[in-house]
Amino acid sequence: MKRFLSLLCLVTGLSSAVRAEDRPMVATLHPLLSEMVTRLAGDHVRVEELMGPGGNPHTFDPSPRDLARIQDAVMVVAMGKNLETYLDRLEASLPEGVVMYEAGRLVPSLRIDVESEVFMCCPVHSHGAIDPHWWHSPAAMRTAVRHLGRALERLLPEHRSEIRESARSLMSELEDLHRWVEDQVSVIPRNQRKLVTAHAAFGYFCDAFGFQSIPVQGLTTEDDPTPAYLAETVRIIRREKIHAVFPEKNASERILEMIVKETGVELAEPLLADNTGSADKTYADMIRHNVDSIVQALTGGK
Amino acid sequence: MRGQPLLELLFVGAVALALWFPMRGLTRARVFPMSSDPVLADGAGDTVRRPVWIDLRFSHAPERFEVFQNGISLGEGGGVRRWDEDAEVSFEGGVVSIRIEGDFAGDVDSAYLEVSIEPDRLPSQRRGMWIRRDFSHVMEFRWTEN
Repeated sequence: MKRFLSLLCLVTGLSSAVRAEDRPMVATLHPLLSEMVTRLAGDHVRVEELMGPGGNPHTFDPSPRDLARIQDAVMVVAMGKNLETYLDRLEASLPEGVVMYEAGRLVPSLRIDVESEVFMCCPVHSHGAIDPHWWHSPAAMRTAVRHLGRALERLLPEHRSEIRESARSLMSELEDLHRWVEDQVSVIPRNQRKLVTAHAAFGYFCDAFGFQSIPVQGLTTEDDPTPAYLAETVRIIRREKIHAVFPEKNASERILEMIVKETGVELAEPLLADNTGSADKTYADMIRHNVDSIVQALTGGK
Repeated sequence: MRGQPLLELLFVGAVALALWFPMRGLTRARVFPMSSDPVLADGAGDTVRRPVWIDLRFSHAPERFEVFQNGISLGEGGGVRRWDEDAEVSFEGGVVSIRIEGDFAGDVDSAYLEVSIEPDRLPSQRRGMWIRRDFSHVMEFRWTEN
């Protein structure tokens, strides 16, 4: 009897493994997209993630091994708005007929302004270009989820109603998250809603919740800024009467100490700009972490 | 031309004029459109058709309701408090006008209705209103630059 049960388990296990391989593969270029595709399509797709939760989407470039890994993909989901500068190359490497889907394409765009130009993540995202960091607004994510849901419905018409229902539920969660952010930031007076960050990644957040984005040099992990840039940073912090700044993780201790000493500004908990930072963190965790950090720093924890 | 100042002056003037046109093209300020928003790019005075997402939320479920634009039905439903549909609507000078009509069962005198319209690439807009048992209301949504 035991042998029979073991055999049955083995056969069942094998058949479910075969079923798993039968499912269409959807490749994602950002962990947040993996989360959204999984929430929408569940077990009906196999999600293959090219860039992990620790990756930097501005510097990530898929290796030949990555490309080989997604040769069976029927759909590739990118963040869009030119975040993935390698997208054309990736498309050319895939078999014909693969759906290339940009999740942020139909989200209203913000352009990068002149003052933020030198603080952007990379030369591609400079003045006049479209700011690619649309996911920092839950309302924008809701729009993206709705369109992504429709694209998955087209891919899996036999599961249309299930995907539509999942999309409604996820959109409702994102609406609640947006309202939660509005509620949390309401304790910060309008004239103190100034978000001083390492690079201009929070334009959509600022636009959605009434903040002024002030990116300054010296808060990044990049090479030390020049004395002229540092002097400018100190000048901006004093002029704008900034209470707290949000450095990147691993930013130069020496530079941060100098900025604090010169201005008396508080160093806040680093914000998650381009990724969730860890595999067990969700999109909502990322937004909550950032909002908690912002509210704590700008109200002094009151 | 030596000794003929008038001719020299005319010659210099002709050369300056010939150079001025291409130089003007190179040096004058140019205006580039900053927005690629579809409605605005098509011109505020034009009528264009765009895909939108319509989202209705009722405080009480109506027995039936239908959404129209210019007499054409965009969708209908009933017995639910939330309803949404993808549709294509006309933007006239950046304005979308829709009519919503329907009725409630006998025990509901009035209810609150919230309507959101979200066109592709443009921000969502939301309007709310109190409606009575047999209702028919026109709602306007306007998208303008900034």
